[in-house]
Amino acid sequence: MSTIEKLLDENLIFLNAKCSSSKEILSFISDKLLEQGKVKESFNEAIIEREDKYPTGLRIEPYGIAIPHTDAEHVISPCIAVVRMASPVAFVEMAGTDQVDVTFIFCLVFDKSQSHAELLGSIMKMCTTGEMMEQLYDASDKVQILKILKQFC
Amino acid sequence: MKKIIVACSSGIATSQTVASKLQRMLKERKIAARVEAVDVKSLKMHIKDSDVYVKMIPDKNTYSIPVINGIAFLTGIGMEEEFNKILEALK
Repeated sequence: MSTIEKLLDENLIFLNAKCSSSKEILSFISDKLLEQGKVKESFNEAIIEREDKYPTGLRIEPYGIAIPHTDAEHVISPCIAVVRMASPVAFVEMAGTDQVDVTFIFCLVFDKSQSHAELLGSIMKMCTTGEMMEQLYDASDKVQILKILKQFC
Repeated sequence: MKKIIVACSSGIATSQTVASKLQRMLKERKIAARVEAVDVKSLKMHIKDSDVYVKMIPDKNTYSIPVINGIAFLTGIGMEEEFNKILEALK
């Protein structure tokens, strides 16, 4: 099993999320992560604050993505939460100020034991594989999404 | 040796990913330059002895060295173009 596979979990995949702002969806993800004991209570505020200061939207074709993350101090158990929006939500583009319409969010919950750069590199490779993104878009449920991610990682 | 710095907030995730990528690309073209991933707090200190600054964060400041937007190296989109800008700056 690859390192990414170990961080994926059916319970951390959310489809057809309906939120009208990046802040809302980040709170949604934080609540779920907190519920499942993956993060501390401080995670919610930390990830929103970080996204505000250092945005993570990436304008990839065919679907924009965001890779929100925050410091390891707020993490209990490393994982990756995956969200597919019912309709795109606006995030700010990384290293800039433009808006990106984001359909997929990969919330990276890493602690100090991971090789962040390696994991991020692999995720980026996956996300720039048009075939995978199309399949994720068409997937009907969490089980399928998980299967597709495992296939490409 | 010429020095390129890649900065993100923590100096870990995005900057290290891009720094590795840049190092590989430079090696392939046999260009001698070192790439370092730094955090935003130590940016000013590193700018002093660097030749190019690749940013992974919004930064509207002007510096004494060229600033390149690093997301192209994360997504691969427009990467060659940005890389050529770096090569120009290293000359």
